[in-house]
Parts: sequence; structure tokens; C-alpha cells
Amino acid sequence: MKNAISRNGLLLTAFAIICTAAVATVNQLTKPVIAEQEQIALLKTINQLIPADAYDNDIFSSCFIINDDLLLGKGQSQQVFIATKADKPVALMLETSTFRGYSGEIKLAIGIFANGKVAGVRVIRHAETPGLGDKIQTNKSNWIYSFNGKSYQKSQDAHWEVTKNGGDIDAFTGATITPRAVTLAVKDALIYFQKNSTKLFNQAPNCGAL
Amino acid sequence: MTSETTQPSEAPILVVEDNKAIYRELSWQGLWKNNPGIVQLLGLCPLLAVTNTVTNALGLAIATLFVLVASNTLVSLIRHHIPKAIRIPIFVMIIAALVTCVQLLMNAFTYELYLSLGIFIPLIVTNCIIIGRAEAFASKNNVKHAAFDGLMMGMGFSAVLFALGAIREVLAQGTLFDGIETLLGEWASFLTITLYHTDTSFLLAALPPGAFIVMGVIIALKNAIDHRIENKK
Repeated sequence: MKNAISRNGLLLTAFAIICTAAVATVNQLTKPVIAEQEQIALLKTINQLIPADAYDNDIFSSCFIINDDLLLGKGQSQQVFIATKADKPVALMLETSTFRGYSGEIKLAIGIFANGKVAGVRVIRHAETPGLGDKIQTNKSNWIYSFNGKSYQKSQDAHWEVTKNGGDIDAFTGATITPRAVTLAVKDALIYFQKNSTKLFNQAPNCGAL
Repeated sequence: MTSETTQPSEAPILVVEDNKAIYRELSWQGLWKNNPGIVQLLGLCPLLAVTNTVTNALGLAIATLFVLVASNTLVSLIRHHIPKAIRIPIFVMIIAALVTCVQLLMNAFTYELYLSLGIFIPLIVTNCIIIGRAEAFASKNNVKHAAFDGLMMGMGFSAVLFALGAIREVLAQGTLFDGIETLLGEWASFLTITLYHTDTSFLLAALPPGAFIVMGVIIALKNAIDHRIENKK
């Protein structure tokens, strides 16, 4: 009996070690590829927002982390990437999150030119209703492009709303909550940018190895 | 000690003399008669959740198929060496390790598909088909038969995923193979077919209730076909 227990115990241990070793090996082998894939995906997003020929710095090494509970999503750390040409700031891309959508977090990447104009907005991830709220994706609808070129002025605060609530942004058919969440998130990000733009463009990179 | 820990002698479920007949029987069981998706109704959670497009359905189908074949093979290989009392935890460990490896590989090589399948890749671990086949078949049969059983059960499951995905994608957004390039690479984008164009998609088909309804129709259809064959005899 005692023997059987110790034998079973040893066998289980052996299997646990073998399985863990297999997973660890695959993890080690795929780690660089995954990091590379993530970087490619990120660069794709960045270059959709800020044209690749508008900047000449190594945009990955300009990355740093910001957080602002009120404007950039409560409790979320967001990455910022700075684009410069000949050491002059051109634009930046910052991530922001909002929980005002229909289901959970909507994570956005927002490109902002140095003059405060929106270069573009893309959804990084969301869990909105397929067929309704997912029109914030570029492959479903052109809606998200309607932010391009817009900027924020305090006197025009009321215009940063969906038309239903008296603003300038047309919501798409069938959904108000999702476009409104995105609109307000972009507005908050622009407010954050206005408050901190000098600081943002002079921030030392601190994302670590990316 | 020996009597307790060693496995009883081989006890195949299928007592068929002819080797070819075994494979035929396994295919028949996996693809139709005992189809894991529409007869055993196993793994319904991923089945219903990710079949909103053909691409998603195929991605999960391939991952599940791979895990099923690999886990059946491994379980069959070690079936004489593991004591009965601890076989289940060992199966679970093997399956969990395999799924984690598949998840990492998909993350590395089919990045966008990995993002769109999300949580359902790790959830393959909890898919009852896999532990079910390990316990019911692979632990009692030789490696070749076990691997073939995994392949056929996986194909049966894949076929159901594919059918569900195709029907729901056509109903919901009027396309087929939308986004297939995330699975097979850019060259495959010519496969995307737009059957009709719509601005407001048919939501019911895209959402989980639609999955249940289409699934019900498929099961009814299968039963009707079986009934007809039965009556003809």
C-alpha cells in the first residue's frame, strides 16, 4: 500500500516535470517570435495613425507609460509613443481605455499631432456586440475615421458628443452606447494631451525592453 | 502491489478482426454515428461561441483536431505504464501541456487569429471530447488506432464547427471565409466570398442564440437523415 502510494506519487511528479519541461521549452522557443509579432502589430497600428514618412526616430524606444484615472481609464497603465522628425516632435500615439461601452473595456490607440489635431483613432480591443457595436472596427465600418483632423477646445466641449446628445459625432445605426464611449474616450485623451503636451514630448522613455 | 498498479490486459472496444474494417468503423463513428459535436454534444461551449465566422470556426477546429490526435497518441503510448488510480490526473496534465503549447504556437505564428479566438484556445483543455477520447478509447487501444480515432473525432467536430460557422456567417453578414487571411496568410484572401451586402447584419445569427438555433437545426437534419436510412432498410 505504502509502496503503491509512493510509486504513484513519483510517477505523478515525473509527469508533472516532463509536461512542465515541454511547455517551458515551447515557451522559450516561441517567446521571441511572439514579441516580434506583437511589435509588428503595434507598428502597423502606429503607422496607420502616424504616416511612416512623417517621423524618423526609432518609435519603439520612445515608449513610456502614463496613467490618469480620470481621463485614460481607471487603474490602467497606458503606453505612449513619440514620433519626432529631426528631433522635433511631430505626433504621438497614446493608448486609452474606457469602460463606458456596452461590455467591458474598449482599448483605443489615438494618434495626436503636435498641434493637437487627431491623426487617427483605432480600436485595439473591445468586446462590444458583434454586428452592432463592432462598427468601431475599421474592417466593419468607416465610422472611426470621422475623428481624423478634429481637435478639442474647451469652449466647444459640448460638440464632443454623439448627435443624439447634441454633439457633432454621428453615431451609427443601431448603437449609441459604443460610439458615445469611444467619442468621450477620444475627447478625454485630447484633454489629457492639452494639459500635458510639453511634458509628454519631453518624457524619458521607460517601457524597458520592447 | 503489482496486482493493483499494472493495467489489465488489452481490452479493445471494437472487436473487429479485419484491420481495414477497424479504420472504417472508426471513421464512421467519428464523422457521423458518434459525432462529438452533434451526437455526443461535447465541447458545446467553444462550439457555440466561436462559430460566428468560418475563419474562427476553422481556427478552433484545427487547434482542437491537433490536440485530440496528439493527446490520443500520447495517452495510448503510455497506457501500459500508468497505474489506473492516477490515470486521470496524468491525462489532464498531458492535455493541459499540449493545449498550452498549441496556444503559444498560435500566438507566435497565427497572431491575429489568436487574438480573435482569445479565451477559447486555453478552453480546449476543458473540452470533454479530449479527456473523453483519452479515457474511453486511447487508454485501451494501440497507438495507430488511437491516433486515427483522434483524427476522425477531430474531423467530425471540425465538420460541425465548419457547418455552423458557414451558416451563421452567411446569415449574419452575407460573406464566407471573411478574414481567412489571418489563418492561412495573405494568399488566401481570394477565398473571401461576399454573397450579398448588408449594412445591418442579421444579429440573431451572429449572437449565441443563433448558434443554438442553427445547432438544433443541424441535429434535427442529421436525425432525419438517420431516420430515412432506417426506414429504407
